[in-house]
Amino acid sequence: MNQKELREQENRCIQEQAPACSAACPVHVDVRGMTAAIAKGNFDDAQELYRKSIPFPQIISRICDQPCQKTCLRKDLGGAIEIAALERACLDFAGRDFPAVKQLARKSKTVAIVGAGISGLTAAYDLARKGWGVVLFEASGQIGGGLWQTAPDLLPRDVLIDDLKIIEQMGIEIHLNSPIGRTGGNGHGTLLARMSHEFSAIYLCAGPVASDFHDLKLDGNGYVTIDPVTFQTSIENVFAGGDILRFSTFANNENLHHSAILSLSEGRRAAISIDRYLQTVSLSASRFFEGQYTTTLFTNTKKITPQPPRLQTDLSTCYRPDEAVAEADRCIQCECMECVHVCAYLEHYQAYPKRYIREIYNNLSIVMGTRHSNQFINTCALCGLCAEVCPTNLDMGQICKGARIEMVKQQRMPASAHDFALRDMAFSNGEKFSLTKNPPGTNVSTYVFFPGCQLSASYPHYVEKAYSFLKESLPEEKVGLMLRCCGAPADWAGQEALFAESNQQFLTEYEKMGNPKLILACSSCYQIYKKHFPQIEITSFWEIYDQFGPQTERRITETPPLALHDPCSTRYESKIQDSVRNILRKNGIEIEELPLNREKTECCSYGGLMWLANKQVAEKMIQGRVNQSQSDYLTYCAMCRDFFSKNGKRSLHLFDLLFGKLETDYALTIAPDFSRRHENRARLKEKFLKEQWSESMPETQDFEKIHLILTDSVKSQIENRFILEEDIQKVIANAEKSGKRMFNQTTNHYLAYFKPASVTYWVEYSPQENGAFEIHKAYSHRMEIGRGAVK
Amino acid sequence: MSDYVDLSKEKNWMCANCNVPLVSGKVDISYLGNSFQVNLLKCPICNLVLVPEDLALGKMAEVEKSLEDK
Amino acid sequence: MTFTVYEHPIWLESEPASMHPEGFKITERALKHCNIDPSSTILDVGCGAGSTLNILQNENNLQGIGIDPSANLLSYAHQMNANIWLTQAFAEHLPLANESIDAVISECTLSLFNAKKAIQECQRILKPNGYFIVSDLYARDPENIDKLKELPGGTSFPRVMDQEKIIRLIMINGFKISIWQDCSDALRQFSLDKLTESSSIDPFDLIIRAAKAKLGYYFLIARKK
Repeated sequence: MNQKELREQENRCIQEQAPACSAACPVHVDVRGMTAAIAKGNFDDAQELYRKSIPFPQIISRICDQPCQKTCLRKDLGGAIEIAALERACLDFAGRDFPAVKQLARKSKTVAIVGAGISGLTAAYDLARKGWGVVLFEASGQIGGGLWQTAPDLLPRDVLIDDLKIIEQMGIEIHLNSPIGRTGGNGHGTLLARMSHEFSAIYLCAGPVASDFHDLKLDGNGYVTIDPVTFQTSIENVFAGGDILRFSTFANNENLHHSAILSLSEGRRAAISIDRYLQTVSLSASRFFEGQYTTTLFTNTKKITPQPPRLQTDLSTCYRPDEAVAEADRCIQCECMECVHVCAYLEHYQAYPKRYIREIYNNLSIVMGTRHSNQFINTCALCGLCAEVCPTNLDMGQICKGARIEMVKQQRMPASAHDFALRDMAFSNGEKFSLTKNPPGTNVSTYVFFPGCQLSASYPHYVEKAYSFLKESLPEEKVGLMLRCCGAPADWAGQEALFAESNQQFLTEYEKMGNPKLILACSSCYQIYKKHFPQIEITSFWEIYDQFGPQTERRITETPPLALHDPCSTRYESKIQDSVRNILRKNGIEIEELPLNREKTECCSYGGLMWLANKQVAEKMIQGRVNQSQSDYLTYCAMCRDFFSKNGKRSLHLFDLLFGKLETDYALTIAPDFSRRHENRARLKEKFLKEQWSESMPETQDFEKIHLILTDSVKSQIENRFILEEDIQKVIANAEKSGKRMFNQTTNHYLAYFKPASVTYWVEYSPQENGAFEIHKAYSHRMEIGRGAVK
Repeated sequence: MSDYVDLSKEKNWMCANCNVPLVSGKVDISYLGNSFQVNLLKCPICNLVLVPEDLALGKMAEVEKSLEDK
Repeated sequence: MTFTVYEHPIWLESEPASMHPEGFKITERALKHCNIDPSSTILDVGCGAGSTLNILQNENNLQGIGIDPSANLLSYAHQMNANIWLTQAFAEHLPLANESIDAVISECTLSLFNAKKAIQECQRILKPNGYFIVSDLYARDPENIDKLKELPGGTSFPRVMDQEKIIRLIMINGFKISIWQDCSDALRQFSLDKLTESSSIDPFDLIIRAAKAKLGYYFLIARKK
C-alpha cells in the first residue's frame, strides 16, 4: 500500500464532511457546533461560531430564509431545527461582548465597490478585514440597499442601523448619493476606464445595470460575461455580483431565488477572488465547497426518535434561554461514525478512520518523531465489519494489514508484537504436528480433511470424530488428512515472506496427494485458501455435514435457544452460515440470531492477532460481543468459543452438539492453555499415526522428557506471560546439563535462564526426589544480557 | 549509582556452579542496538547474572516497549 | 569532594573524548566545512578537559581558547597541555572582546547553559561571518520533551530543545544557519554508562525517557550575519 493509495482511502471516510445544514448554507454557518454549544447553555461559544461566518449577525438572524432547514435530518423526525431562532437566541443571551473585528494591517491597494447592498457590504467587510482599502459607492442616501425594503417589524430599523455601523468602524470610505454615471470624466471615455485607473479592483453589485458598462463583454443573450467560479468579468480587475450576476447566463437568471444569505455568499466569494487578484495568486485554484452544495456525510437516523420542537417559531420569535437550550438539544448532531459504533477497536482510540489513516500515513512516512500508531496498526482484527457498515465500504483492516506489511518491510515491526503467534505457527508446521497422509493403503486422495491448528489444539477429540465422519460419509472417496497451520498468523502479522514460505510448503504436500478437494473445519483457514489458492477446490466441513450428515429432523437435546455467533471469517460465506443453520434445524436446536450476525458479525478478538497485540482492546471486544444476549452462545470456530468461555460466557462449539456426550455441559469447559494446546496437537498427530497408519512419532528430544510439576497458580502465571512448559523444560535441561544455575540458601530453590531464540526465559524451580521439577515461577525478557554475563 | 534495582531481596542467591555468593557488579544489557550498564548481582567467578523477576517484568519490559516505539 | 556531573573522575579515566557522542568525528567534519586558516582564533565553549583543543592544536594546527565553568576540569586540561589558553567562565558571560573570535565550537554543551544567553554571547564575540559550530542533544518528538525535563539537573537533559526552537534561537540572535545535520546514530553508539555513573540517573529511566522524547543528536554550522 503506497501513500497515494492511503490518501485515496482517507478521502473515502466521510466523517469530516459538513452536516447537511452547513452544506446547504451558502456561507456554511457551523450550525451543528452552535446547537451543541447552546444545548450546553453556552451562548457565548455559539455566538462566536455564528459570527465567524456572518458579518451582520442581527440582520441575518432576522431575515434569513434558512435553506439549512430544508436539509435538516430532523425534518422528518419531528421537524427541522429552528436554526434562525437559535441564532437570535445566541445573540440575545451571550454573556459577554464580542470584540471589534480584527483587521490586518492596511495594505496599499484599494478596491471600489459599486452598490452598498448586502453583497457589496459583505465584500467590503471581508476585504477591509484583509487590510485592503475599500471605497463604497452607493446611489441612494444610505447603505443597506434592499434591506431597507424589509418589513420594519421583521427587521427593526435600529437593529439594521446598529449592525451596519461596523462598515464605518472598519474605515471603509462611503460615498452616498453617488450614482455611477455612464461617462467617465477626468479625461476617461467610460466610467470603468476611469475606475480601473483609480482602483486596483472593482466589484459591481448595483443591480441590473450591465448596459451602463459599455466596456464589459456581453454574451449572446446580452448578459455580461461572468466567470461562474470567480465572478470575474471580461476586464480582469472587474468582478460582478448582485443582479448583474443573477441576470447573467450561467445563473438561472430572472427566476433565481433572491435571498439575503445568497447575496452575502456572493459578496464573500467575490471578495475571495478580489483578494487573490490583489495578491496575484490563482483565482480559480481549489475553490471547492463555495456556496450551497450537497454533503456526502451519512448519518444513520434509525435510532433517532421523532421529537417536535417545543415551540413553533417564525422569524420574529424570541426564545427564552431554556427554550433555546431545549430546541438546540433536538439537534441530531449529524455524523457518520457507522464503523466506530460497531467496533470496540475503532472506538477505543477515540477517533474515526479519516484521522486514523492520516496517523498511519504519518507513521509510515515518518523519519523523525515518534511513531505513535504501531500498536494501533497491530490491534485491528482485520475482520472487515467496518467496510460492511461503511457507506463507502472503507476497510480499515485492509489498511492496517497493508501498514503491517510495510512495517515488516521497513524492519520497524516491534519484535514482540506477533512473535508468540508466529512461534505457535512454526510449531504447527513443524514435526510435532504437521502431517500429510493419504488414507491408509492408498497413495492418492480425492478429498483431504484440513482441521486447522486451533481446532486441533482445543478439541483434538472432535477432529478425530470429524475425520471418521468424513470417511464414513464419503465411502466412495479417498479422504486424506492434513495437519498444519494455514499460515493465517503470518498473513495477519504482515509477514509476507513467512506466509509465502508456509504456502509453498503446503502446496508441495498438497500436490503430492494428487490435488484433492480441501475440506476445511476452520473458517479462517477457509479464507486463506479461498484467497490465496483460487485453483484449489475448497469446501467447508459444515457444508459436507449438512449434505451427508443425519437428514431427519430430530431433537438431540432439550436446551433453551442458543444465540448463534457467526465467526467473522464467514462474513460473506452465506453458504457456510446456511449450512450451519440447516444442521441446527435438522437437529432440533432452536437458535437466536444476534443483532449483528452473518455479514455484520463481529470478531472475537482472535482475528488479526488482536488478542496478542492489545489485550485491553481484545477484552473490550469480547465483552461487547458476549453482552449482546443472555442466552448461551453457540459458534463453529474454536477460537471464538474459547475466547467467549474464557471471559465467563457459557458457550458451545457446534461439535459439542454433534459429537459430544448428551449428558455433559460443555458450555462451561475452559479451553486448554498454551502448553496444553501444543501437547494436544502433538498427541493428536501421534494418535492418528498410530491408529490409522500404525506409525510412531519421531524421537522426542531430551528436554521434552523433563517432568514438570506446576500448581494452578503457576500455570496461570506462565499462561499470562506467554511462557510454554516446553520453554521451561528447555531452561531446566540447559541448567542441569551445564550446571549454570543459582541456588538460594533460604528457600533451597534453583534459578536458571536460557535464551532459545529471541526471548530469555527464567525459571525458579526445585528438583524432586522422583526426578521431576517443581516450578515456583517463570518470567521472561527480551533485553539481552551482554558482555558481563555468561551466554 | 543509585539503587534503581532493589538487590537486597535477592541477597540469598549464590552461584550453584562456583559455590560462591553473588555480588553486585556492572552488567551490560542491550536491546535493539542500544546498550547500557546496570548494577546487578552476578557470580564473581563465572559471571552468571541474576535478573530478578521485578526487573524483568518492570523496568526492562518498559525499556523494551519504549525502544520498540510502540 | 563533591563533583558536578562532568567533573566526576570517571570521565577522565580513559579517552576524554567520550564526554560527548561521536568523539571528535563531528568536530572534524565541521572543520572541513569551514574555511579556517591557522591564523584564526577558535573558542571552545565548555572545553572540559581540553581534548578538542588538543586535537585542534596537534592535528589541525589551529590555536584554540577554552572556557569552562569547572576549575577542576580546567586544571586537568592544563596538566595535559600547558600550551593552550584556558579560562574559567560561563558561556553566558564570556570574558572576550566584541568581534574577536573567528569560530566558536560548542560540543554537547549548549543545553548545559542558558542557551539564549550563550548564543547571544557567542554572537557578540564572533567576527562578522564567524562560524558557530554546535553539536548537541535535541528532542525529535517535541510533544514528549517534558519526559526529559524530569531528569536530574547537572546534565543537558532537562534543557534539551527541539529542532525548531534551536534553529529559531540561533537565527533570531544574528546568525544564518548553513548546515543542520541529524547525527542521532552517534547517540546510539555513545555509552551512557559514565553519564549514569556520574549523575546517578537510573539508566532504565533514562532510556525510557530518551526513547519517548526521541532524543537525537545534531550538528550545525551557523555564520554570524
